[in-house]
Order: sequence, then structure tokens, then C-alpha cells
Amino acid sequence: MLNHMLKDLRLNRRGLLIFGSFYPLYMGFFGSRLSTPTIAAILGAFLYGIVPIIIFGREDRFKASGFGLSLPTTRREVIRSRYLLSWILMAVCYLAASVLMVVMPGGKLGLSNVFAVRTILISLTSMTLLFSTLMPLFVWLGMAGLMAFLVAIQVLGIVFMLLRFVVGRSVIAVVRALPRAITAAVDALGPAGAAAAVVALLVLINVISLAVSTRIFAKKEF
Amino acid sequence: MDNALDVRNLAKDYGDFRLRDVSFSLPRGYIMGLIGPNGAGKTTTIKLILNLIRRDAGEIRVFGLDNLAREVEVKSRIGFVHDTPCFFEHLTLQNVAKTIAPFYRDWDEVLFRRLIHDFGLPPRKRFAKLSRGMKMKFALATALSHKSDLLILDEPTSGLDPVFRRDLLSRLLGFIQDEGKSVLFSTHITADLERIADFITFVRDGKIVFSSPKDEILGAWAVVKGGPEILASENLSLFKAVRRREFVVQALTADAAEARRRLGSGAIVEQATLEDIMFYLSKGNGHA
Repeated sequence: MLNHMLKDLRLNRRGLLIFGSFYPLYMGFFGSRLSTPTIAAILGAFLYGIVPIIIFGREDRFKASGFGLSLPTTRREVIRSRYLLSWILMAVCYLAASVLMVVMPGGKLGLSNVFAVRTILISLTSMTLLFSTLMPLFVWLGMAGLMAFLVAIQVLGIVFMLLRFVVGRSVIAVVRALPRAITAAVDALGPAGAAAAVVALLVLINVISLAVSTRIFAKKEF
Repeated sequence: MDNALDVRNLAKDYGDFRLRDVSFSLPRGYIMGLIGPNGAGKTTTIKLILNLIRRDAGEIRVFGLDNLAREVEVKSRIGFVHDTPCFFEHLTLQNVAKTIAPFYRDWDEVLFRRLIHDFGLPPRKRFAKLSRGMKMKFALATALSHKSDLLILDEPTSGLDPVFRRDLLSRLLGFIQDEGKSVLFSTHITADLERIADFITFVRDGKIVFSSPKDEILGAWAVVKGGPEILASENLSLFKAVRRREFVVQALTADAAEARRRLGSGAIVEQATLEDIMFYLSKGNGHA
């Protein structure tokens, strides 16, 4: 697994340097201008989730996946190492951006805001939802998977707008019910219990995503 | 006999192309040529051995190990040269080597550097900047540098200059001198195989036509040339493929001795080359 991770890091040094420094820098600056860290957490997660996909997409571009699989390795190992490396990259980007948000001159966010459990959980949830959906699509379709995902998000937005137009404000009521349900669950479990439940759920989503990606990759032909 | 490679009843269905019931064995210490026209199933067979594509049926054993159940062990004993080497284009050759070396327990850096030097490859040059021939040389250098026991080469000599082709062939002969090492060599350039191969496996339309020792093939197969009378009904079973001209008939037989006995001075029976066999079986009519 370590060999695969080192291989991917070596292959993508330049890409990592460019995207891995630009995105945290951008989010660090942008986030520091906000008075609430929630938007920065959600938007940042989107950017960090894209970083591993862009990195792995380079192998796709060079059509070198077949060669990679002719090395002494298994497909399961390739996917596992990619998930692990992705989370390491996302975590590094997230940490770097968070620190920058705090230390950026003229910033509005303090350490207690950026590193609050709630903010961290929102970031982790956003990253998990994005990455765990995107990665199986990427494994299945390559870079076209990323495009499919972006298009799907646009389509969902349009569908939501149409629903709102057709069905009326009840759609918004349904969407607004979600935070209320979460708040109720947090109240019931207590802050520590709710955090543990969220983390457990996120781990489960990642494990399911890993299993789906592994299954897709096992069937791919090179 | 102890085999480096055993392929049994291999099948793969692409819809528009099917590999059917492919079986052959490559004994240790020998070179096998895999020949056949374009789209016959050579690359598909090689990809199945390396688990780059999924088989629908059959079994593949490399040094007695199942290629799926013992995938890592099997691949670490195989040196693979793809027909279009796809490494990581933007890396220099030395960085490509640094990237793949940790995957192999027996990677020999000294040997790799020597091969790079012998092949005239610039280690600091990017892979993308190499010519096709140089890419092939680099792929060969990496395949040889981890002390593989089985070399699998998919069209390795296409795009190579004649000097390096000869050099490659002599290296392959040197490779199998080391006891127990074997080579599976897919190519269109059958003259290369006549120089070095011990066994020939001929694939056509996804099926094995024959898989036998080369000398046996070259001893038995012949091109028969004569007038239309050689296609008399009692002789038809002799011929595997026939090509007709206005006054001349050329036919391929797998039994040269029997053809000489039956046709006598009424026909010329010439030993067939591998190219003849491939040509007639691909282009000739199945029978008169």
C-alpha cells in the first residue's frame, strides 16, 4: 500500500504542489473574510475533495493504469491506497486552510471558531459526502466521472428549483426540516454522543464507498 | 515437464470477438512465439495472463501458481513489455525506475543502470520525449531488471531498428540460458521467431490453431505448388488452405511427407516458413 501511495505522490508532485497549495491558500484567504466558518467548511470540502481526483486523473490521462496493474499488486490494494492517500491529502489541505483562516491578517475567524467540533464535523461530513460519491464515479468513468458528478449537481439544482416552482414552499419546508431533525438528534444524544455518531456514520459511508469502488475497479478492463 | 506457463480452456467474450478454449503450455527454459493476424487474440491472451482483463472461463497458472489467487507473487515473477509502452510520460527514466523499483523485491539497480547504458538510453530524459523504439528498449530494461523468471513481450520488435532487434533476440537467448527462465513473445515478425523460438502457438479468430515445437512445425508444414489437378478430391484432406491462380494452385499442408508421397513429381513441396503458415491460414480458403 505504501508503495502505491509513494508512486502516486511521486507521479503527481507538480500537481500536488499546484493544487495542494493553491486551494488551501485560496480557502484560507476566502474563509478568513467570512464571519461564520460553516460556508468555508462546506466550500473548502468541495475543493479538497477534488484534489485527489485531479491527482489520480493524471494516470488516466497517460493511459498508464494498465501498466500500473501489471506491477506486482492487486486491484484491491490500488483502491485502498488511493482512499487512504486521498484522506491524507484532504486532511492536510483542510488543516492548512484552517490554520491560514486563523492567521490571515484581517481575518474574522478565531481559533475557537475554525477548530470547533461543529465546524470540524461539518467539514468532515461535506468531504465524506463529496468524496464518497465522487470516487466510485471516478473509478468507473475516469475524469468523465468528475464531469458526470458536476453535471448531476447542476441538474439536481435545476430539479430543485423546478420542484420549488411547481410544488411551492413545501419543498423548502422539507429541506429545512433536516437541520431541525439533526438538532433534535444532537439534543437526544448529547454533544459527545452526537459527534461520535456522526463520525461513525462518516466512517460507514467511506467504507461503503470503498467497497463500491473496489467492486467497480475489479471489473474494469485495461 | 515443469511449465512456466499453463493456459487451460481460456475464454473471453467481448461480444464482437470471442477468445475460445485457448490452451497451451510453455515449459521452463524455453521461448514461445505467439503468432497470429491482427485481432486474433494474442494481446487478449497476454492481458488475461496479467489480469488486466477478466476472463470468462479457464485457468492460468504461472510456475504452478494461479494467476488470480496468487496475483502479487505471479506478477513479481513476470517481466512485461507492452506493445505500446505506457509509463508515466512526464517522468524522467530514472524517476520511472525509482517509482516502480519498490514494487519488486529483486529489483537490481546495478543491472538496470547497465541496461540503460547498453541500450543508449538517457536516464534524465523524459519518457514522453523518447521515440517508440527507445520506449520499447526502456520497457525491456525495466522488465529485465527485476530478475523475472518469465518475460512476456507483446510485439516488442515492432518499431525497432534491425540492429536492436538482433540485439534483443540475442538478449532473449541469453536470458533463457539462466536455467528456468522462459519467454512468451507475441509478434508479427515471424522471422524473429524462426531465429529464437522453441515453441510456436498460432492463434486465429480467438482459437488456437496449433501450439507445438517450432522444429516440428517447420518439419511438417509445407507449401505445395502445382496445377489444378493437385486439388483432386482424394488430396483435399491434405490441405489446410488453398490459393488459386489461373494455372497454378498453391496449398498449405501440415503433412509434408504425405504430400510428397501422394503427389510425387506432380507438385513442388517446399518447407513452409512461419510467415507462409500465417499468411495461408489467414488469407487462403479453408479448403479447395
